[in-house]
Amino acid sequence: MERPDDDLRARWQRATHAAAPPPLAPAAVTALLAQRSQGIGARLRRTARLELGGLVLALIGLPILLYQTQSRVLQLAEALLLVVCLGFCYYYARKLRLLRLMDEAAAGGDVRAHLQTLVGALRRLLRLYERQVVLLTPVFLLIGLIAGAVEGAPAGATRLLSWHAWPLYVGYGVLAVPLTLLQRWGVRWYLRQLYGRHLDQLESDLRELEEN
Amino acid sequence: MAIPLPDFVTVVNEHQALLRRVCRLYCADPTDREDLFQEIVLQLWRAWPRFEPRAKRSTWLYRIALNVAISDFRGRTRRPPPDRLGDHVPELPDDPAAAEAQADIEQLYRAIERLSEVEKAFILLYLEERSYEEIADILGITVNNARVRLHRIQDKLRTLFPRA
Repeated sequence: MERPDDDLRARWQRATHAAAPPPLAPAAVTALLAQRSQGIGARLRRTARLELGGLVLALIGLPILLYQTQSRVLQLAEALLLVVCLGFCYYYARKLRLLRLMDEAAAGGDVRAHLQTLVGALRRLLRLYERQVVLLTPVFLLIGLIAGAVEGAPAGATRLLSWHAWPLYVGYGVLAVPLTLLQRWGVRWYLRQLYGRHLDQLESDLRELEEN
Repeated sequence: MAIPLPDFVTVVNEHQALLRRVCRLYCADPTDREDLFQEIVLQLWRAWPRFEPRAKRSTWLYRIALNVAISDFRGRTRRPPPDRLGDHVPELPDDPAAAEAQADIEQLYRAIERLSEVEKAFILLYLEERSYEEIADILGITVNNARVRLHRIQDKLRTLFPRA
């Protein structure tokens, strides 16, 4: 006698295997492959490549600007910006490596290993983004301070480099610390909105798969 | 985009029905289903050079299809499943027997839609008559775990689809 479960499988086989879809022509497969992937890794990689293009332009433009600038204070701001851009190179190298890892995980590995890789890489990616933003806040604030001083009094801007400017730097510190903390909170909230649900879902799937 | 190898087109066509069933199970909306199908074919194409001819092709295909369907695909809208199983009225064929079979399978799909993403993978592989060994291999768990989990999920499905 057929068990109910076997009957269900038989019904499934009959219903789903009866009508085979029409075969795809090579041109149709080519058209499918020509479309852009909507996977999370592919979308992040596209954004990263765009940003990387902007970074390359900045890395080419900034040394030229630095060479042409007369003001030492402005030169300092530009040099700081250049250092930030070089830091970004490291950031993008790591980001693209993590994205490649996410991409390769789907290619034939078992579901559990794939989820483990994805969760790990996505967590590291978000941490990397958070650190980058938090580190940049005080640096950009400093660059803004220098630019503001030059804008306010171009002739006296070099005073920023003397020890008489200490009250300004104390003010900078007083402003930079809470702003950085606020930025950290803001970026965490933003990342949570953007990827939180997806990450929660992946973690929940992984937990479910690992439970006995 | 380079023209895909004839072998690849053949593999996609040979297993198109299997891939379509994965898409049907994970996407209730036809547009989302097509998007998921495209995403799976893209991943298969990327993984194609690394496919080892000695490996079991169906295992390789299920792994990639499920990896994409479960985790990597955020394009589809996650519509909530309907509260009652009878909410969805599919187009039925003229032949009463075929119409009944299709209505039956549509009801089953609606029941499976109410399972979690991971449970759907278990049930799909079970319905597709994969062995416990292959289910364990595809999902990356032990054979014993696959057996235990599958029985639990079958019980759950029975409450959602009493004819199961």
